[in-house]
Amino acid sequence: MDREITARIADDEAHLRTFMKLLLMDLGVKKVYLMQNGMDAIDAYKEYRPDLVLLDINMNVMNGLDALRHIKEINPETKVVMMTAVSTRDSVEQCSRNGASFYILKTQTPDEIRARLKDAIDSIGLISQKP
Amino acid sequence: MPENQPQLISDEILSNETKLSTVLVIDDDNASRSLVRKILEREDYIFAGVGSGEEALEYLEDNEPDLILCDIVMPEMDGIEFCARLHLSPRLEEIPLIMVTGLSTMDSLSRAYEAGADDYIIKPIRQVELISRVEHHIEIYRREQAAKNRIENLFTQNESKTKFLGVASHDLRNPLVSIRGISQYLDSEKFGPLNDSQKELVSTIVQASESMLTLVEDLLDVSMFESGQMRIEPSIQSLEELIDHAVTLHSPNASKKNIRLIKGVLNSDTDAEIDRRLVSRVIDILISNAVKFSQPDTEVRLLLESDETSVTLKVEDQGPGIPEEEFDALFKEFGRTSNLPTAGESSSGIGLFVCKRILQRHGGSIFAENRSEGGARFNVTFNRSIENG
Repeated sequence: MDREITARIADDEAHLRTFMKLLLMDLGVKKVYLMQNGMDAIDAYKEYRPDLVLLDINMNVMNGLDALRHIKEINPETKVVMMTAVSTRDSVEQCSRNGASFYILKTQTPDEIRARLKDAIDSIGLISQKP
Repeated sequence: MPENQPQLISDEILSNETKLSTVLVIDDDNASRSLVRKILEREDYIFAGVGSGEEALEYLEDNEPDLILCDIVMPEMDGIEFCARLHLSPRLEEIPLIMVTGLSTMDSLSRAYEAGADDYIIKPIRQVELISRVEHHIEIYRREQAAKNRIENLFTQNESKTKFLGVASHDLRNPLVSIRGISQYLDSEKFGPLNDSQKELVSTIVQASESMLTLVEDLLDVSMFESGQMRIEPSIQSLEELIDHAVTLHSPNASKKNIRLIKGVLNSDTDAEIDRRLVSRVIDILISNAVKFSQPDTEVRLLLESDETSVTLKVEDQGPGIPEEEFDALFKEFGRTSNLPTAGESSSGIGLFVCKRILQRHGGSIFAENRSEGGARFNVTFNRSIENG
């Protein structure tokens, strides 16, 4: 049976939170909550256990990679999407080594970003797809 | 660049000009030294005299005279050896050195020049000759030093410009991505229908953010190239596939002007070792330029030719061609030709500069020509393998 998917976005740039939220809602995610840093993302994760977490790699207070490690410790099954403006081979490797499921380059076209987010949502496999 | 920009350098030149010049005189003969001293001090030069090459090197450890007068014939270290020793020090080697010689030692002059001397004076020393040579060489030395400082200064300024460009472009990019994305959402009317004027406004935002994003990405690439940070990540890619991708991407824009993008492939093997992202940028820039500068109802052809060692892409348009006298400006930073986009599109004049740099990094080539039937043709050649390049 389908249930509503919830997502959390942690990014210190407000416009990107809004943009990602739009994309997720367009893909059928019913509830999207926004956080400004990795620390808040972990606190919120503990409380609400969202299905999907989007983490910016470069954030103040706690960066995305540290937040990823913490969240994966709490629940290794969580699907985490890492986001970055600057991609290096090193950062991709670090993300996948720490258990991230997907990797988004913010400079990709909206269609490409949307496609990656769709992959992430499909991997949860619970959503009622839009026609 | 504005012409009245402040120039730090000029202050330095002024202070140099008002400063008294010091001349180091090396001669084992006391009488000669005091004669030279009299002549120099009469003309307001500061005299520093030593009796041997060894003493001179010692003096030079803590002092930098503006000129050195050195006798060739001296016991122990002679003038030629001193000259050679002087030129071992990067700090001192540029100080002008005039050899003082008697007629009997004229044959050793060629050795002195080889060792790095700048000029010579024949004994007996005449006041007019000494002063005019000293003045002349100090003047040249001053100019050279000023030019050198200026170059160093410009180099530093250029570096900080590049750095600024990188930081600014990087920080501008993220917000632009969001502006573009969010306005595209509005434009898609997923949040409800827009009336005609709202639609026009939103599509203006989309267009403006798209062209600004392109510019910012170009600037970012430029700053990476200039600072030597641009690394290419080569892999074997099919250029035909990149062209197909680009055609899909540019078709909506081209069709607004009813311009047809036509692909032609002469040899099905179009694989080459390239950086996919960078080469896609080259293709994007060439196609969008062709569309930008062409009249409506024309064609842009993308032709792929290849042989064993290389793959060539030709982008042909039916636009106005490149004005003959403006070919030079074409691949320069911000080098725009007098041609204007035909539908008010924006043009930063940086795209082809980026293309050229990307091709250079690949060991490939790019050049432009006018087609005899009208329009321009850009030829881009990649080596199949980077190592062969």
